[in-house]
Amino acid sequence: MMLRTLRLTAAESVKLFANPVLYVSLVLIASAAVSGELAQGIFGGQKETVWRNHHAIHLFAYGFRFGMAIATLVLLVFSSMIFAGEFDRGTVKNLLTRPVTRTDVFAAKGVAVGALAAILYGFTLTVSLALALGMGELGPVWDDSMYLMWRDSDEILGHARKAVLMGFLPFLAAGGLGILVSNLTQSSGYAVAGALVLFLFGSLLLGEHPGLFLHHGTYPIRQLEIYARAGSTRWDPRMEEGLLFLKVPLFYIAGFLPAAWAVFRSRDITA
Amino acid sequence: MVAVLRTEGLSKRFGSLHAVEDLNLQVEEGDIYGFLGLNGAGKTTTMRMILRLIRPTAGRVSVFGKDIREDWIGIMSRVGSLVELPAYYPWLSARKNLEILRLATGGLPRARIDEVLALVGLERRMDDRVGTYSQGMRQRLGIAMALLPRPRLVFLDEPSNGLDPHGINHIRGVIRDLNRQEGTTFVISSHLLHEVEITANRVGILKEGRLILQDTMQGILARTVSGLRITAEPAGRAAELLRAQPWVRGVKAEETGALRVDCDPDAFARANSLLLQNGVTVSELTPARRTLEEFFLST
Ligand SMILES: Nc1ncnc2c1ncn2[C@@H]1O[C@H](COP(=O)(O)OP(=O)(O)OP(=O)(O)O)[C@@H](O)[C@H]1O
Ligand SMILES: [Mg+2]
Repeated sequence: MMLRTLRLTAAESVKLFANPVLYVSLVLIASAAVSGELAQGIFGGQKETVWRNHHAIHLFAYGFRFGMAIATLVLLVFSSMIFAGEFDRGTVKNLLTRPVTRTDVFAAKGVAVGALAAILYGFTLTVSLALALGMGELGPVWDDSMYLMWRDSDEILGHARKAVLMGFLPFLAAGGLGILVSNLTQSSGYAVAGALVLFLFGSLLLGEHPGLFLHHGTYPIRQLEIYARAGSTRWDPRMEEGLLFLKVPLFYIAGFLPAAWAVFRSRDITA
Repeated sequence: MVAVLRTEGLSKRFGSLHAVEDLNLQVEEGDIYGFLGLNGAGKTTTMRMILRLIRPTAGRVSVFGKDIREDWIGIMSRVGSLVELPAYYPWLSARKNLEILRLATGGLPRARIDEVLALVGLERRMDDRVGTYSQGMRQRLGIAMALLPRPRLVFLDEPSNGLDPHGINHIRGVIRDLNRQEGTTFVISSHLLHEVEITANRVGILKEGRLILQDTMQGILARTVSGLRITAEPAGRAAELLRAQPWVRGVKAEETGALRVDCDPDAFARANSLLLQNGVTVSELTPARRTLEEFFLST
């Protein structure tokens, strides 16, 4: 089972990395991250303090937030096509008539979506961090006019690290939603549209409620941005202390994946 | 003889439609099994059930003597298939498409990909994106996919679909060679009766989901009408005269205007003199060839 799933995951990666859409998406993500930081760096004005440039973490938070907003859409598109695309091209019959089980195929696709999420997250992180370090400065966070040190360097860096860690699982949960929707239709067009609509609808409806909102992905980063500007808000303490950043996305993933698997296992393939 | 494929009571209903009903197929090792039936007879549905793409309403399938649910992995490593249209990733080359299936199969060397591509005559275009292929080239790729795992049993659903005459001939040759040299068993569904007639050694005919006949090709041909084929002028008068003879079992006019006379083929001379004596000009008189088409259309 492990070996078959590994082989199938390798097959998934052949498809993924040869897909031009992936590279277009990476360019879009990078553009979003870069424009977020440039906009802040240029239009945010020059500071009066000894630290004349923006704080790197402040810029990073902008870039990462913008980049992640696009990366989330990209992950939704890819994950919602991962089954539906095989159904409407008919290629699912090729896979299922090989010496593998449906569970193997499902597992490989789940791993592929997880790996793609990690790649997108790492890519967005790298691009926004590199630019932020180039344009901004590290060190303490100073008050603009009064020359007070608001945050020391270690504190702001530690906070940023946490924010980045807390963002990943919620992002992954969006991939879980994509996998579920992907199994509910035979058409990749409907799957993509359905996943995006459901995701945006969920975001609007569940809003910022920390116990319900499936996508906290950009929330800690948004908070980081305020924090790096010397604002006093951290995130809702329940995010960290109540482990909501962990529990909420895992709850969604634990709902989405078994449902998707049950549908995939029992469906008639007439492609 | 070992039954390579056996279905018992295999049935599939779609709502109130009985697409396949109580099907008992038996395909033996080394067969080229022609699976015939009109549009909608249930050929594709049967193949899908055998390959577990759809769930049968009832019945069992065994391949290589084992129930497919018991040894699915073992069985499928030696089974290849092309069901309905070939499916592929259009942004990938033929080679990459096959690489994906090679990975999904396991245990096949990379060289096998070039081997099957050469076998179906795609070697010159194998690095082009499949999205740019012609219909016949895609069909060839579909057949290459079916042959990739060096299967002992291959299902081909309308393999000649979209192929030019040269392509049909080529693929027929590939099937025959694999069958003769490696003993590969084929189950081929087709509408091209002539095609089945010259390749298959066993035939199953499906009608509205039921297997109405399963026999060797020789057995089936023996059941077709035998007799004479006569082109005469005036044809109406010739038919009238022949029908009146006690040794004639029946006379049918073909579309070409020729007459098909159901009688003993030895009645050659008798028919000729009968027509000549009655002032009918005979321009052609030959023993009628038994064809699968004739038999099929009469079922
Ligand atoms: N998914 C489905 N839902 C409902 N009915 C179906 C489905 N698939 C097939 N059928 C019906 O089952 C019957 C058999 O179809 P099938 O595709 O097996 O025929 P076939 O013998 O392969 O025909 P053809 O020669 O046209 O390919 C048809 O009446 C078809 O409409
Ligand atoms: Mg069919």
